Amino acid sequence: MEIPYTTEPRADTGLYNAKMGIWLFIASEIMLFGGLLSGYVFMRMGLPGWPAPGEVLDVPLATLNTLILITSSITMVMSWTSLKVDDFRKFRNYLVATIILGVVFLVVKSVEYNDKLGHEYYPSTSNFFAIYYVLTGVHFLHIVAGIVVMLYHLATGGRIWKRNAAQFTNRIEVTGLYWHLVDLVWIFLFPSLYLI
Amino acid sequence: MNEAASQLTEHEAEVRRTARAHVTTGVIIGMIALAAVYVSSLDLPLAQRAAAILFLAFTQGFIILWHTMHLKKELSPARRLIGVTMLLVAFLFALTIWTYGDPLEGSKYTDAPGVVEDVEEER
Repeated sequence: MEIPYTTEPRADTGLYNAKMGIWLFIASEIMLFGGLLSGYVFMRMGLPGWPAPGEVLDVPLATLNTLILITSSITMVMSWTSLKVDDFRKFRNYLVATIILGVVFLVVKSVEYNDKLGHEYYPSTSNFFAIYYVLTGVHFLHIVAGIVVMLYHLATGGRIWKRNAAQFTNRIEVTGLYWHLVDLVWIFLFPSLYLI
Repeated sequence: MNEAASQLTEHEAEVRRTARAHVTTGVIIGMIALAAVYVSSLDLPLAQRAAAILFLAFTQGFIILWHTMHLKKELSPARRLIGVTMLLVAFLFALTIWTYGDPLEGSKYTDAPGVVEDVEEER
């Protein structure tokens, strides 16, 4: 028996299965990061001696990472729109670009971590560094997960595209929604930790 | 045949329009991020700096959610789902901030055992 609503939307929700699933997942992610950011506000408001912007964290490096992530969001959308016009070659190129940008983000972040650890700034150093490592670390893991999913699509995409193009296009759309969420989270982490 | 071909072209044109819109949105979000960095470099009091930067961050967040993630085009279930979740998170934030105006013992982070001593030691 074929699973219904893998490509066409359900009449009552207006969403196909995977999209309904990803919106539920996104809602749970908003709760996760909302809770963590709320913890940040809690500590920030209660503690004196919070470092000023740029005092201990590298703002230019984080700005570069913000621009990298925003660009990767654009290439992700372009890979999806390429499938919409049946251009699989272009889709692959844009997806590879997204993966590369994701990896560059991780490398830049690792450089930053390395610098902090080199200066003996550990999670145990202060409340600021505890929340900094937790927030950026959880976000880092989300980027890794996104890259793994995109690599899977890159490896198996050709086969699935030939079998069911509409379903594969939907999978890329759902992956894109996850990637935009990761971008969205960073949009709030960056000012909270680096700029305020 | 001609009708099918023109429909395909129309579809292609629509997709290309969407792609262009996404690139424009990305550029706008990037510019807002740079504006936030500029605001951060200004010598403003903490409250004003936080208000300005958070306003810019929420503007970026709205643009990503509404346009890039197509929430604008989704039907009510997805919107309701995200709307209620964000409302709950906003409530959590409000509660966090509100407890700092609450004089009850134990409602502040610094009321936790050992925290005051640690803070004084850091000073």
